[in-house]
Amino acid sequence: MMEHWRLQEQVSLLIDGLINDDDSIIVFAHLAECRECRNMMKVMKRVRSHWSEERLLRVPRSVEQRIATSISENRVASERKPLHTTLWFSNVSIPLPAAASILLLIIFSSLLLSPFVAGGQSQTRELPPELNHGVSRFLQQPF
Amino acid sequence: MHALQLGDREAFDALYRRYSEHIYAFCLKLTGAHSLAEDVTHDTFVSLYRNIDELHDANRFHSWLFTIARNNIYNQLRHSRRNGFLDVESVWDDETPFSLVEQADAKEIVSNCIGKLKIEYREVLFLREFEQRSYEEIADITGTTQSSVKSRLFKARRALTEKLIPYFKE
Repeated sequence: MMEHWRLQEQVSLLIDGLINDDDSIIVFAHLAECRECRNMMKVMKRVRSHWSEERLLRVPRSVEQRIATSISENRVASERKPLHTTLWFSNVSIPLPAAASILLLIIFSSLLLSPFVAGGQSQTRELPPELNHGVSRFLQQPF
Repeated sequence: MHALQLGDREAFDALYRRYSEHIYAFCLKLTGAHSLAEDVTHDTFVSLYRNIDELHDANRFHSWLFTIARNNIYNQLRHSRRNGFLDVESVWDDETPFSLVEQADAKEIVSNCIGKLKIEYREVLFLREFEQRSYEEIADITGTTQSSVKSRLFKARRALTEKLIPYFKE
């Protein structure tokens, strides 16, 4: 024998037409002797007829106007957005290992290329003889 | 729907004409207040316009729209309650049993008793009885499983029976 609450749950499924033939025989037999479950059927029948007669309310015109305003404001705002702002704030993201690899590549390549760059540009200039002489005299003076 | 995703304003108007009254009725049944229902309907259709690109399956449009409305309703109710503008239960509890008895109209009684149910019960009842949605669709809208919908519907019906039976005794 099924518990009462389980039978009542079956009554709820019966209301929705979601019960198989075997179970419906048990539920109808139960309905014949249970006033509480009959009441549930009766109430749901009332509710169903209540809602079937109920007409949809028209949405107030003011709501429609507010929606139109919000949408046009939204459209204007998106049109006004300058390109550089979009790019700046666009969430471009790369994985951390990739970012670290790129950074290391930049550092190593700059270290590798620096002698060539330096070799091509640096020139040693000798001081004029009179100045060179003055400097060496200065360095020889005791402190 | 595809036209709307391409920015067609007329497509939006067509969807609004088709669904606005259903969404408004859903909001009204769940909030019990016209002003809140209007605000939520507004927010729902603005969200629809802004986020239509996120919907990839056109067959889910109905459930998707009701899910947006439902989320907006819960947010609006939370916000109103936090700011002390509204005690949700008080919206529905303004009718005393005595005044209910005085009302001759059975429709009013049904309406008031539904309004006194928990919001989780009202939403499943509305979606099932008024919108005639399947358990699967209700589960999709409410973010639960079909078995949870089945159980909630049963509890909602039992709670409603307890409230209504004094008026409709055998």
